Amino acid sequence: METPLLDVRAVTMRFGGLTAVRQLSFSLYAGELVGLIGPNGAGKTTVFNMITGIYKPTEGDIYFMGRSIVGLRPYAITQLGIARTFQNIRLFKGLTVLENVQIGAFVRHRTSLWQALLRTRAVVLEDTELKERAMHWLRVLELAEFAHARASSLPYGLQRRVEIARALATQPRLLLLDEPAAGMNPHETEELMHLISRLRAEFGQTILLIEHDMKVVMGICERVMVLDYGELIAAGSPEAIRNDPKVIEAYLGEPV
Amino acid sequence: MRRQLLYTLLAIGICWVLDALLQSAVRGQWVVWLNDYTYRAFVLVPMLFVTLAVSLNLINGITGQFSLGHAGFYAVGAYLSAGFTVYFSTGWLQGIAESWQSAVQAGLLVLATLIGGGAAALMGLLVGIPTLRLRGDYLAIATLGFGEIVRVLFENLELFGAQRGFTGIPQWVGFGFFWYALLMVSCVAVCRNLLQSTHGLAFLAVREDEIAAEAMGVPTTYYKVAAFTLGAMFAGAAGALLAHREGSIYPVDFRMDISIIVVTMVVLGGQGSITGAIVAGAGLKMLEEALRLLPVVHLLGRELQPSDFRMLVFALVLILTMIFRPQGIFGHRELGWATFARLCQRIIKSSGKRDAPRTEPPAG
Repeated sequence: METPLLDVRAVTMRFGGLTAVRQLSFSLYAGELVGLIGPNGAGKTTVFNMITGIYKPTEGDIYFMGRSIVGLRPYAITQLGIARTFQNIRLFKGLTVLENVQIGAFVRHRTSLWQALLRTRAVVLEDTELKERAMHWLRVLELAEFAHARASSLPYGLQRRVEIARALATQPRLLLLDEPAAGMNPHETEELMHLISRLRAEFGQTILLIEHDMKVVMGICERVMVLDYGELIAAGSPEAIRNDPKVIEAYLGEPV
Repeated sequence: MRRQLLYTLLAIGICWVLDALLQSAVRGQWVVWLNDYTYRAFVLVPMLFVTLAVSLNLINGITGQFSLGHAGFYAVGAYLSAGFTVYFSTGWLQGIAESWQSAVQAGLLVLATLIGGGAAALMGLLVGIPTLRLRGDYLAIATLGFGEIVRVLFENLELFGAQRGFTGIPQWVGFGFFWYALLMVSCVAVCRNLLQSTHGLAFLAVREDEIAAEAMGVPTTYYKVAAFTLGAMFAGAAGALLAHREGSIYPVDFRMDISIIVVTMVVLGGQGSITGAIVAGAGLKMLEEALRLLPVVHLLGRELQPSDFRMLVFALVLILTMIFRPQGIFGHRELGWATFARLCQRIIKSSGKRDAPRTEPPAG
């Protein structure tokens, strides 16, 4: 059996007396598109923060491509190939859209800071290359026309897309999307669903998705995990989840 | 590398020519108002402060780490380079032929400046690593404390003349324009190179959002320490030139006021804007010197010297900037050919619009 891309093993996260995540285990395989759902405060974002190194789990271990990533700094984890977006958008507000995405691409740089201070030929070439790579992702996400606009001047829905472009520019093996449809109107949500499935189909991108909008999750994910009070209460195909009595009780509500 | 070498040689050449021109202008009294005093007050000192402002801009403006300790790095550079010159290098000059003296002096001056800059950079590194865990106000307080510690230290070290000041430093900088300009130009060039590259964006990312920067693979601590080290290095080199131009330095030259004035320059110019730091640095320093030229005012039976109120003026400038233009004169923008071209374009476009017949119906 192939080794999973991401392997979360019996992870627990406690904040003082509060246990946000309890004994959580799951695996992700390359090429999968998996949804993580659950009511507010179920610990979904905590899971993301543990995977990306912002929190260090109190117990348990997380393996990425066969090696433990617990205790690594967030930037090191991104360099290994995990990128994320944030629930509350965290773009570099004062910079342009292109610069935002260029910073994402910068993670794969080769020149040193000293070379940059002297602006050697290698730096000039690399700048062009990184800019081109950033433009590539802007074109993929249909953001090219906003390249030189200030990130904070864009409407909310577009800012979310810029965040996705920035994360993709780091060339991640695993992309974590934290409620990408939050605050979007139905039309924007539709476009987003289309985009996410396109990333999967065209680039084979592995994606773990937190989402509140059930239509998004059920529509595009082939596997869904449900978190409640920090515990995994169900996992399986969207059909199975929709009919799981425990999930209905905790989250979906009685079918009308 | 050939391009860099060409630019470097060009910069040295231009500085050299300007130095010679200015020197004959001052010595020969070509214009009435250009004498030794006004040259020092309106050319040399502003250039030194532009260097300080641009180097602090790297820390405060570009990387967003509010430092109030720039005078400390400036002092470290001045005292240590002067210490090197006074205690170690004078012996080297003995027994050297007269014709070679000036060349050896120039070499030693470069070495002393490198030592001053290097010592300050090391200090920046040492201060940076523990204090950069602090944020905002706490970092400001810690760096302020550092600056004061450095000053008090030199005030009490007999080796450096303590409160009497460190005197008898060989004045190898001489007339000064050449060296001051060279340092200023290299400081600006390095900062500009940095901002043009994607590495510079990493510094800006730290300023904009540390958590997001870290999540995008930017090692934030590394960039913060790098900014501190680089900024400190240029401040130290500026101190070294000051010491070797004036021949004597005093602890009061490195008071907290200096740090605050330089911060005012960065904020006024626009945090992160190099051209802003240049314009505000030169402008504020010239303003301060101009205050000295004003006559004494008699008010309520007292003699008031306008320059005694310079800190008041700076505070006022800072407050007014905060109220009316919090982003500073230039904001995050740079003033360069691109801005100039854009401005021209806008003027042409707007005049074109006025002439063009209206085709679309009025809105509403």
